[in-house]
Amino acid sequence: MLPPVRAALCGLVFSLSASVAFAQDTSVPFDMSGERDPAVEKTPAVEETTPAVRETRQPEKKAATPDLSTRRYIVPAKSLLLEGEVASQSFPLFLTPQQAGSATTINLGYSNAVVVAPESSRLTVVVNDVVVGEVPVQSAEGIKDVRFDLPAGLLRPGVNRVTFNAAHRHRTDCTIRSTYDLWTSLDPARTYLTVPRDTSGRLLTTDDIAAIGLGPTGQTKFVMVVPEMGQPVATNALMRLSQGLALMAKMPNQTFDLTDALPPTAGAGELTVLVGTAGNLAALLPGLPATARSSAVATFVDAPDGDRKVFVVSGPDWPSIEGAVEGMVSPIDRPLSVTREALSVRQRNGADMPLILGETSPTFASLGVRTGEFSGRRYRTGFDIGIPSDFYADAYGEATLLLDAAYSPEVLPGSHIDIYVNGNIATTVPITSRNGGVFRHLPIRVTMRHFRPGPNRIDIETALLTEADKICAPGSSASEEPRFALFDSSEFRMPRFARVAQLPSLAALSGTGFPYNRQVDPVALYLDRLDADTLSTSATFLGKMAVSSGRALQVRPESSALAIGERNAILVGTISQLPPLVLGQTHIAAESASAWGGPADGGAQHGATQDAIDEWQSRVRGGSWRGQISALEAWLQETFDIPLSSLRLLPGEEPLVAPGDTARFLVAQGDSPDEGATWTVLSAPTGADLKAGMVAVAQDERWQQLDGYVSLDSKDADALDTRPVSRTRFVATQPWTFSNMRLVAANWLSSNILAYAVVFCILSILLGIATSGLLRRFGREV
Amino acid sequence: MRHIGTIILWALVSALVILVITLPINLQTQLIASIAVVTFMAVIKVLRAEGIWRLIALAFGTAVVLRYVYWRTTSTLPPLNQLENFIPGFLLYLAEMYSVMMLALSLFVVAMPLPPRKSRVAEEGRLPTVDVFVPSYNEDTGLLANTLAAAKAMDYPADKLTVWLLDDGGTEQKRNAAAVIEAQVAEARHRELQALCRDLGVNYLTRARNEHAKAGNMNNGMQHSTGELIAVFDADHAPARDFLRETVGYFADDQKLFLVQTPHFFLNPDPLERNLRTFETMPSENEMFYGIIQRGLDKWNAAFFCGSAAVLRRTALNEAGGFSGLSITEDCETALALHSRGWNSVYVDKPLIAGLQPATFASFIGQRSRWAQGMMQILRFRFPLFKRGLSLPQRLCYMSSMLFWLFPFPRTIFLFAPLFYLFFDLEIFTASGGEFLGYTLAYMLVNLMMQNYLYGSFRWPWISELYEYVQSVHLLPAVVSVMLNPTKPTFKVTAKDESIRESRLSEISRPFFVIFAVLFVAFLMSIYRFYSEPYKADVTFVVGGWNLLNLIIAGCALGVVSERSERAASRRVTVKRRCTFIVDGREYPSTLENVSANGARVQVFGLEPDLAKDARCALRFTPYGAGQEEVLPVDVRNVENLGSVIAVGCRFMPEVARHHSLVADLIFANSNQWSDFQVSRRYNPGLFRGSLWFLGIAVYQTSRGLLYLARSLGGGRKKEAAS
Repeated sequence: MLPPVRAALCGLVFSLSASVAFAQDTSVPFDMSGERDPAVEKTPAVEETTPAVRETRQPEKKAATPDLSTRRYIVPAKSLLLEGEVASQSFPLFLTPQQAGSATTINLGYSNAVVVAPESSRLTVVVNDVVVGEVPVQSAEGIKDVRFDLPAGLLRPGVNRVTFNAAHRHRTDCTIRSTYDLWTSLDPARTYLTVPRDTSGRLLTTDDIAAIGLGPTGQTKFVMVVPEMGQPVATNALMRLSQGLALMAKMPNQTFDLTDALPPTAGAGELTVLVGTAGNLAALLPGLPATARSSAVATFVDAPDGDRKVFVVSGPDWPSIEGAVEGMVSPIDRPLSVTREALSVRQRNGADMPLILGETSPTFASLGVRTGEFSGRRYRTGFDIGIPSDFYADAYGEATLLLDAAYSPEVLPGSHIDIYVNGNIATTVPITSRNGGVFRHLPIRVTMRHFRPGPNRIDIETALLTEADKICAPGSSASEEPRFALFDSSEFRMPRFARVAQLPSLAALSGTGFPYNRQVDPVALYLDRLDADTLSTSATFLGKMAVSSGRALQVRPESSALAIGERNAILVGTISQLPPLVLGQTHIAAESASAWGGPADGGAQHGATQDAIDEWQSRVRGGSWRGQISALEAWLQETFDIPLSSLRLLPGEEPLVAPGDTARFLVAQGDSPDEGATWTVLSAPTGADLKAGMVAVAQDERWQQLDGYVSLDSKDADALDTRPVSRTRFVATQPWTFSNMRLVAANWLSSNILAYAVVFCILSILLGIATSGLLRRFGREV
Repeated sequence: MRHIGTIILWALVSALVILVITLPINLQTQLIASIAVVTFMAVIKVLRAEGIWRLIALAFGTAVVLRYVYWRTTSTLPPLNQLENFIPGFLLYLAEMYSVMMLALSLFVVAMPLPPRKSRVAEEGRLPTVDVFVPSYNEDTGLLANTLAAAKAMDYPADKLTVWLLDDGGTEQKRNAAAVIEAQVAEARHRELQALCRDLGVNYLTRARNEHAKAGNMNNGMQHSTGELIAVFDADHAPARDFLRETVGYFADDQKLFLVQTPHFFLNPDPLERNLRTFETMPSENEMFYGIIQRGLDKWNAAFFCGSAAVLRRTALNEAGGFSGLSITEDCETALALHSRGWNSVYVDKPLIAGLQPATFASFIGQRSRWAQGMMQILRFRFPLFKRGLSLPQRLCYMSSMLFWLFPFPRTIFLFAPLFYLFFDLEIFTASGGEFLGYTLAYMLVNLMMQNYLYGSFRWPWISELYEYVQSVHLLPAVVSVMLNPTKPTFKVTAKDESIRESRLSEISRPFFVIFAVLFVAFLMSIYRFYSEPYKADVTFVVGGWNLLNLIIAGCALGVVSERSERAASRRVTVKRRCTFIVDGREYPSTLENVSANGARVQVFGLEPDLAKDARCALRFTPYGAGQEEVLPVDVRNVENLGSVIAVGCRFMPEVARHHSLVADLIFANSNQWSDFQVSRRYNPGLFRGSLWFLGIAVYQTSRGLLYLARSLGGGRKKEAAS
C-alpha cells in the first residue's frame, strides 16, 4: 500500500517545484506553446457556437467594486482548489424567496496552473443540476472573472446547489504524476451570486436567518449585541439563542461575537442580533417594536442607520426573552426520541450525509456518486457518510466497497484503484488484467481505522496506465475515448460494528456532540466570568455543538465549578481562573495555570531538555538498550504497523498536558471526580486568546480535527495538536446484546494486542487441561 | 454420565475458546497471537514436555487452526459473482476444510493413545483351541512353506493348534477351468500343496468355487474347523513363535473380545523406501498406523482387523455370519460389523509376524487402490457415522479411517491450485501478503509442528505429503470410479514377491513426468511474473513458493517411480546366532550374520577360503522350539575372506518339510529382532533438520528420475533403430 502514497507524494513535490519554476520563469515561453497557439485562438469560435453562454471578461477593478450587499458568496472557505483531471465541488446556497426570484447572474473568479491545456480543459458551473456556463480553463496568468446569466426560474427559495466542475488536461505530459500539477483555483471573494440591490439583504422572517450566507473568506458571524451580558440571568437565554441561530443557519464556519454596542455596519455573512430587555435595547435601537415592553418579540427591525435589518429578541424581562428564544428554538429542535438518519452538514457537497448506525449497504447513487466515464489518467470521486459517536470499530473493523466499474483494453496492468478514508489510504486494488475488464460488485475491503465520529469522507481514486500515455503523442493527452467507468450501482457495505461510547473523546464531541447530545438534564455550564470573550467563546462552542448534535442543548449556568458534581459539564475560562480540580480531572498540568502564556518559559525549557535527551539518545543509540527498543519499535512500525504502545496489557494513564509556548487555546475533556460524568474544558491564557482560539477551532476544517482528550490550537500551526486517549471509560449507548459486546471485545483486544495473545494462550492452556481431564475419564486406560 | 461435570467444564472452556477465536480481530493482533503461540509450541516441543503438556500443545495448535478456518471462511473466498474465481476457489476451500476435518478426527484418535500393553502371556492349562488360517490364492510353494512351517512352529500345545492352508488357487472351479493351461497349473498346484501340507502336518483345504474372494475362502475354512479362536495370516506373513502366547490370553480376560490385532512388520522395503533408500534409516510408512493410530483407536475400543496377524473369536464371527464380503476390504468391514454388535477389540503393539509388501510401484499402487476402493465401499454401504450399535468415539474413529482415503481429491487440488493463478491469472484466494504471514504461514507452521509432535518419530516431515502425492496420481481415478460404481471393484490379490532385476522406470510412471513438467513450467512462469509484474510480486511470491513446494515433492516422486534394481531376491534379516558350518563332514564353529527366505550369510572360523561355489554344505543349529540340534542343507554361493573369519553366502536347499521349518525358525522365530530393528529407525529428526534432509533427497531423486527417463527414451530409440 505504500507505493501509491509515495507516488502521490512525488507528484506533489513535482507539482510544487514545477509551479515554482513556472512562476519564476513566466517570460520564457512554454516550449510547446508555439504549436498550441492556434488551438488557443480557436477557443472563442467554439464558444460562439454555444450562445447560451455569455462570457464577459471584466477588468479586475470593476470586479472589485465594493458593493458587498449585492453578493451572495458561495464558497465557505478561504480558497477553493479543484485539483486533478476531473474535480467537482458542490455548495448549498440558501436563498430567501426574494433573492431567488431576483438573482440573475453568477460570478466566478478563477486562476489555473500554467500546465493546464486550455483547449481541452473546461470549467463548468452547474446550478440545481442545470449547466449555466462553461469556459475553457485559460487563466494561468492571474485571476480571471467570468459571469454567467442564470435562466429565469432556476433558483428556488431555500437551498440551492451550486456545483463547479473542472476537467483538466496537461499541455505536454501524460504521466499520472503530471495530473497532480493540474488545478483551478476559485477565489471565494470573487465567486458569488449577484442579487440586485433593491431587494437584497431584506431579511424579513426568522426563516430567512438561514440565508445569512457567507463573507468573502467563507466566514459566517452572528454579532450579538447584549447590553446586559454580565447578568447571570441572561446567560441561559443567550446560550439557547446562539444554538437556535446556529441550527437555523448551519453554516460551516459560523461564530458568535457578543458585544454591548451596536456595530455600525454588517458585512456579507454577518447578522446582527440584539438581545435584551426592552428597556435596555431601546437606547440602542429606536425602531424597537413597542410591544417588546409588554411581551416577548423575535423579529427583524431596521437598524438605526436604516441601511440594513437587524434581528431583535426582546421582552419586558429575561424570563420573557427566554420564552421568545424557546419559541424560536423549539420548532427546529429535535426531540430526544427521534434518531437522525443523516448528519445535517450540507456544506461539503450540498447534500445531507447519511448517518450509518449499523449494517447497511447504500448504493453510490444514494450517496451522491454518479456514474462517470473517464478518459484521463487519474480519476477521483467520493462520498461522505456520517458515523455515530459510539463508533468503536476503528481497530478491527472493515467495511466493503462493492465496486461496479469497467476499464478498457488499453488500460495496462499496474493501474490501480485506491480507496482513501478521510485522506488516509485504506486499500489499493491493483488492476491486473490486460484485456480490459468489468468489475461486478468487486469487493474491496476498507479498513475502518481512519473512521471517526461525525462526517467522514471516502474517496475512490483510480490511476490508469496506458501504452498511449507512455508514448504521449502530441494531443493524445486530450483523448476523449473513455478508459474507465465507475457505475453508481456500486455499493458501500457497512457491516454491523461495535457500538459503545468512549470517554473522553473530543472526536465524538466534534462529530455528534457526544456525550452532551443525548442527555435529558441540562448541561452544567461554568463560565469563569460573564464577559464578552467568555460568552462569545461558549456561544460559538455551543453553536458548533448544536449543529453537530442536531439539537439545541439545555444548559444550566453554574457559578462554581465545585458545585457541578457528577454532571456533564462544559467549563469555559482562562487557565488561571479554572479550579485545580478541573485541571486535574482533564489532565492539564497544574503548573499551566501559572506557566501557560507567562513570560517565564518553563515549558520551552522542558522541551529543550527533551530535545537534548533525544539528540543524545540518537548519538548513543548503538550501545544503549533503550536505543535498541526504539529501533525495534521503528522496525515494527515500518513492517507491520504495530506501535509499541499497543503491545501493552492494560492501558496506562494519560500523561498530563502542559500547553507549550505556541499553544493559544485548548479543548480538554476528562471525567468528573467519581467518573460518572464528563467535563469539557475550553481554556486559554487570556480572554482574547480564548475567543480567537475558539473562532479558529470553529472553522469547519479545524473542528473536524478535534480528537483525543486534549486538542491544542496554535496561532501558526495548520492543524490541531491532539493527544490520543490511552485509558478510556466505556459508556454503554446500546442495549446490552451479545453480538455488540462481542464486537466491542474484538475492538478492545485489537487495540490491546498483547491482551489478546495472553487471553488466547491462557484459554488454550485451559482447553488443553480440560481436554486432558476429559480424555483421562473416557475411553480405555491401561 | 459419571463425568457430567467434566463434560460441562470442557464444553464451557471450548465455548470460550470458540468465542475468542471468532472475534474479528485485526491482522496485527493475529500476528502477535500467532507468534506467541508458535513460540509457546516450539518451547514445549524443544523441552519434550509430555503428559498434560502434550494436550496443551495440541490445544494451542487447534486454536490457531480454528482461527485460520474462521478467517478463511469469512474473508478469503472470492466473490460469488466471479464464477471463474469462485469455483476453483471454493474447491480449494473444500480441500482445506477436508484437511482440517481430518486433522480434527486424527487429533481425536491420537490425542492420548494407549501406551503399549504389558505382555499378557496366556496361562497354561485353560488355553483355548486355535485354528490358524493361511488363505492363499497364487503364492508359490516356497513362500507358503515358510509361512506354514512358522505357523506350525508357534509355541502352543500341539493338540490345541490346527493350521489350515486355505487354497483358493486349487479350487474345483480353477482345476476345471476352460483354459487348459490354467487348469493344468491349478491341478499341479493342488497336488503340490497337498503334499507340502502333508509333510508339514498342516490341513489343506480348498473349495468348489471362488466365491466372495478372501472372505468366502475363510468362511469356508470356518465351516470345516471347530477351534474357539481363529488366527489369520496372509500367505506371506510368517508368525513368530510367541504369537499365540502374546495374544490368546486377552480372550480369557474379556468374553466380549472378538479381535486381537498385531502390527504388520515387513522384511522388505516398499517401492518408496527401496528407491529412496530409506528403509534402513527411516521408519516405514505403516509404522505411523501401527505405532500410533491403532493405539489411538484402541483407546476408543476401535482397533480394527487388518486382514492378517490377528486372532478372532469364532462365536463372534458366527454371530455376524462369518467374515463380511460386501466390500473388497473384508477385514475392516468385519470389524465394523462386530464392533456395532457390541464386541470389543484389542491391539497389541508388538510385531509378532513378518511379511512382505509389494515391491514394485505398480503393485504398491494396486494394493492401495484396493484399500481405498474398499474403504469407499464401506463408507457407502455401511456409513459408520450413523451405524447403530457403535459408540460415538467408535463412529468417529471409523470415519477417520474411511475418510482418510479421500485424500487424492485435496492433494490434487493443492497441486493444481497455484496453476490457476500462474497460468490463468485467476485469484482464487483473496488475501494480502501480510494476511498470508499472519494466518496462512502460522497455520502451516502450527500444522507441521502438530504433525511432528504427534508422529515425529514415526513419520518424518514431508514424507506423508510424498506418499499421498505418489498415490494420488493413480488413486484419484480409482476412487472416482468406485464412487460412480460402488459394486464394480473386485478383490485382486496383491503381488508381493516380485523382484526388480534391472533398473527401470515403473510402467505407470508417465503421469509423474508430465506433472513435473507442468509444475516446472509454472515455476519458470512464477519467476517471470515476479519480475515482469512487480505490482503483484507479493502474491506471485506466495503462489510461486507454494508451486515450488509442489515441484519439490513432484521431483522427489520421480525418484519413487524410478525402480532401482535389487540384488537380493528377498530381504535379509540380521540375526546373531551360533551354529555349526559343516563342509564334507568337517565341522567349523560359526555365527549366522543374516538370513533371508532363500539363504544366509555365515561367518565361519577356521575354514580355508578356497571353498568351491555350489559346494554342498550344511548348517547345524538348535531351533527355538526343539531340544536338540538339527541340520539344514545349503549350497555355497560366494565366499569372502574377512581375515580372521571367512564369510560364506549360502542358499538354503530344503529337501524335506522339516527343512522349511528350520528356515522359518531362523528367520521368524525371534520377534524381538523385528522390534529392535523398528526401534533403531524410530527417532525424530525435528522439523528443521527433517525438512533439510527431505530437500536433499528431493533434489537427488529428481535428477535420478530424469536420468532414468533420459535412459529409457534413449533405450526406446535404440530399440526402434534396431527394429
